[in-house]
Amino acid sequence: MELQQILHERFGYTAFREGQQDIIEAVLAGRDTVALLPTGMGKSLCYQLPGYVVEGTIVVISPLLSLMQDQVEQLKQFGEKRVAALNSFLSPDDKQFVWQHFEDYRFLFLSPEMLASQAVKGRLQQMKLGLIVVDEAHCISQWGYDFRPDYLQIADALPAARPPILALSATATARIISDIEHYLAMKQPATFIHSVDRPNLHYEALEIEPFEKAAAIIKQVTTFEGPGIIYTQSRKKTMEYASMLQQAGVRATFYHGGMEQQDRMLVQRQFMHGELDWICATNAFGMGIHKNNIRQIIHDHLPQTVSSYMQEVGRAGRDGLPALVTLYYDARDAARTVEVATLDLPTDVHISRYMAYADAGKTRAQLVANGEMTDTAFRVLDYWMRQLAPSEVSQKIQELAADKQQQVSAVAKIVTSTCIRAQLLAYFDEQLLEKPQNCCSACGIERHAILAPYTDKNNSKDLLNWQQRLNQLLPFN
Amino acid sequence: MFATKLIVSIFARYNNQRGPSAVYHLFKGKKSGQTIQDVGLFQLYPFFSITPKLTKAQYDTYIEKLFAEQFILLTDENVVVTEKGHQLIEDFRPEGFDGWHYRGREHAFFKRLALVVQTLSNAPQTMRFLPIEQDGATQRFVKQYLRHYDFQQPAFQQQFTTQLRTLLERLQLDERSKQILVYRLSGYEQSGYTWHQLEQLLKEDVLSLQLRYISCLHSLINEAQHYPLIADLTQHIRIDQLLTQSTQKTATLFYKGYSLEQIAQFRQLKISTIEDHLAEMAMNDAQFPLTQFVSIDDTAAIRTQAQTLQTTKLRAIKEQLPHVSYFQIRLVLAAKGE
Repeated sequence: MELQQILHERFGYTAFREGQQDIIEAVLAGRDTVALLPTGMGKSLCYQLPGYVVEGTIVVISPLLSLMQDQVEQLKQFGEKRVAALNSFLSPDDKQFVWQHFEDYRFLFLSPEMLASQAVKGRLQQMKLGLIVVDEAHCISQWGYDFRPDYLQIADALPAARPPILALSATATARIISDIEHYLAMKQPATFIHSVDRPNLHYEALEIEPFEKAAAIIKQVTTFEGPGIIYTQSRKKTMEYASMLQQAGVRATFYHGGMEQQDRMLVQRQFMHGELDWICATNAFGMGIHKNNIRQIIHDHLPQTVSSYMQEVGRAGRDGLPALVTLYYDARDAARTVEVATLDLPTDVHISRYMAYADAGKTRAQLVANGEMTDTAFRVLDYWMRQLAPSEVSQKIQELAADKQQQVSAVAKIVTSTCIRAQLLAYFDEQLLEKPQNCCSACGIERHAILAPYTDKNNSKDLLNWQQRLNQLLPFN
Repeated sequence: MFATKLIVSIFARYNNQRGPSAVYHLFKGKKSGQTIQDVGLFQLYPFFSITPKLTKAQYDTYIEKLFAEQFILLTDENVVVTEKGHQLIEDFRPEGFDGWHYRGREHAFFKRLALVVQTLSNAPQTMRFLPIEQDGATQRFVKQYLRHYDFQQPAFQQQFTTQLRTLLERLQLDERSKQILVYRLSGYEQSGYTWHQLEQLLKEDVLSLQLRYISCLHSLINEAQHYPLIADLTQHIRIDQLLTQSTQKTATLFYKGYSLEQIAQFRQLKISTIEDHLAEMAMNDAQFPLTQFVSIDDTAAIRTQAQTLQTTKLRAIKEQLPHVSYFQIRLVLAAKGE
């Protein structure tokens, strides 16, 4: 069957988006492939479509539980039944169900730690594999913004006679790409790098006194159209912004990682259905948000890395229409962001506690359970302690800290440069060829030319009684 | 306000004999001798384990307010309900709770209900929607249920709606509790509300709303038997007869706080028989207080041995770990892993 035909019949699209077809053809030709597509450009289709061409299971390795579940649901929406995810958060019942049907799946999502288990390895050796996909492949590089030591073991876990590997990422520098190729032991990979430029995004970076930030943000939100997301660094701030916006009559709420699962899901759905216009969130919000018409992204701080900034602003304007992304910063923001970024790095104290636990024969993971260090810090420490001598680990961590500092400096440098767009591209080794109108605040920007004015949505304060509400949900009389 | 009143009314039932944390342990469903014994002693079955996820910090904000507003005070480390406190709860009747039989499992029922309602709500428009519940067990259960009833038939959709509405109407609960439950559900292009949103719209604190919601779920499940389409969603939710009859008797005595020896004497059975019962309890009850009999370290050691030796033979394990008893090994092997 023609690729176009599958695209239409399976996924309901009439045409490929830029870059997709080349990547899919390389994969189908049996080549190891590295593909960089900016957020919102349809990365997933690059392995979803081959699932209906190649024989055997498509194994997708994915770092985040939420991402995995989101991909599974997306495939189910396309009518795929033979799809499942295996990760350590599954209930024993669910795990057993997946285990029993292991070879029958067309798409099988695995977390890296599942892949590392002997049982899974054994199973993979015996079954017919069609393609191995490594999603968010930048996680394999310690220079990536989300290093996952587990990712380094992927190559070891794969059978010797393996199908091609497709490594996917939204953004990666040359150094990260070479890490990806190296650690995945790819064989003469075909590499596709799509421009990270998003011409319909208009960048703003505005220096402002800290005490004026909130007022400026509220004013912006009530002057120009949404929907939009405000990214901030603390859970408390998300709630403060949300409550200020609500008082201004905006349909807004907050979202952070400390909320219960059901509430998080409800906020996502309300936003996706247009029942809410603004979400005030920590960086926990965004994964799996398929909303095309986001018009604004606002940051009240400097993001930790250029890549995470790209990811977050990349959620705007997926419909191709103009969108405004604004970053408010003050002189002390860089220091504050470095502090937040290094919070999750282990320290020398952690190293000695780690060794004390080991000497006492205690399970080292107890360090996290006992509240001595964060989960992320432990993950990094545990990995390096197994690779290096303790003194070298200390050295290593200093390097990582210095690197984080440098990443924040890179963000600061870009937003204060003479052209934000040009510098963003330069960071990813690209050159800006054509400057759009209203390029960025450094080049000069006319907000009114980008966005329509704010309209007051009916923000009803009354609930229906339960009979009326039930009748709305189930109008079957 | 609901939460405040509920807490005061339970302190009133404790009759000035318990400290400030007693209600916390009760709401959390702590399986210690004291808490369990109190459940029997003060007839607190309905409120046992109604909020297993409540944090101490959250609970303490309520307790501090109660002290500050002098609804309760502390005498000899025990909480005493003041005159003002008694006035507060004069007309307060917490209806609908049945914590003893659900212990947090009512949420599994709600997940099923939510997914069924969402599916039916979407059915006339589209079958391509993102399910509000992503957990696999819920999805499989609901899929089977919907398939069984041929859910795209208007007749089924009407019957389901009628049964749910009639059942809700019959519940002896205030309108607000039902309103909260219904607003947590999602449908076609209308999502449920978060706790925070409900708090703002109803002007009542989150814990109160959650407690009302729990009471509504408990009574919904308890009353569902005459509404077969709803009753089918309550399968394996209620914790009833988990144990054999004799073990149940031992269990009853055990949770009242009697020792193994006392139970053996009282029931005129051998100690080894009572130990059998405890092993059965450990096997059936995920919350069995294993640490009361085996230390955490020994538990880990026994599990490790069982795994390394690939055996459940008691002797083999005992040989490796001479300091633990056979009874301890049996309990650990019987108990569900954490």
